[in-house]
Amino acid sequence: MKNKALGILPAALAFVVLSSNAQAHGVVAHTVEGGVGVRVEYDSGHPVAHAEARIFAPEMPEEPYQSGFTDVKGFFMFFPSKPGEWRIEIDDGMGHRAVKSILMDEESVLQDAVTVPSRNRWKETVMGLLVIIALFSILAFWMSRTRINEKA
Amino acid sequence: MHISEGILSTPVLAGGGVIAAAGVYVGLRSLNDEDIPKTAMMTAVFFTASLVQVPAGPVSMHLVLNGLMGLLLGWSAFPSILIALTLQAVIFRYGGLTVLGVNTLIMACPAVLVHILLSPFLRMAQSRARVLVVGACAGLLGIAGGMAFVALAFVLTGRSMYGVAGLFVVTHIPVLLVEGVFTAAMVSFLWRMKPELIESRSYVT
Repeated sequence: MKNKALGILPAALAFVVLSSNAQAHGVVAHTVEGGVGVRVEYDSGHPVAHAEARIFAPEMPEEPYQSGFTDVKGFFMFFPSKPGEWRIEIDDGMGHRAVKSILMDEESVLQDAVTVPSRNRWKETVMGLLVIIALFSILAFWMSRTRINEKA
Repeated sequence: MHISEGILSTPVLAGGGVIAAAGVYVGLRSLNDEDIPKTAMMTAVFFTASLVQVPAGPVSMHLVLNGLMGLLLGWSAFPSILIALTLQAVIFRYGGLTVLGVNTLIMACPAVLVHILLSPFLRMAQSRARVLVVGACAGLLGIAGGMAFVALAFVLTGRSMYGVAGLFVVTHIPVLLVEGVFTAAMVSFLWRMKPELIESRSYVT
């Protein structure tokens, strides 16, 4: 039995290690500042709104680094991850297309815009476990009382 | 495997809520005094299992363990999963309160399916190898069933969700494998150390 009991230790240890390295599964949005952007407009001066935009990184000319759409005022923003020539392609889907290259040097490459501190989930987890214990204790108490009442 | 708020249509959310409520009712009816500690323990395990992350390409998934819950709890998996999901939504912001019904269905229905299909085999199993096979099948079926329900919820919401549903299935394949191995190991361990946990399960009366 002692050997069997020892078998639980590696499993428990693995569970704790994996849990301690846990990443957030919920999705949280943070405000950031900076970035590089373009504003696209027709030669009439009107913005190219909701046009498809694709960003190509310096050493990946074929595979888009990022894709999306310009906003209603023709803006499109991105965060370059390394120095070099970044290419932006804008296509409004109606035959109009613009290509713009932006040279980024070492200094202008943005570092992490914000450092999000990893949340310590231990307190939250313990709180949740206590709630579970409390809920099932109440349920057990309620069920035993119901049974006593039925017998009476 | 949690679907966030704002993705599913109102009819799907409402329908999921009603069916989940029915499942929780059946689960509570089947619960007896002796099952409460086991159900509480499995609720706690399910709640904390979401912190164990499984890398899956650019994203990370977490253990679900609904197959294990199906084998150990039967229909009681419904109230157990509902409580755990509620706490996860409130504390960790997983999923959301309006999606609670659908998320409960996604994880509890496969658990009940595992209970119906695999519990008899587990009860008859005489060797560790067979227990491992049943455990692995429970883990795989739990996740595969959950994926099927997620895909169904997306498809019922509208055509635009087809691509998302496909991506969801592909990214969950690593979880499928990890869950199968983990559930097999857990069931085998319980079968040797605490067989009464496996033998006493909630049945609808």
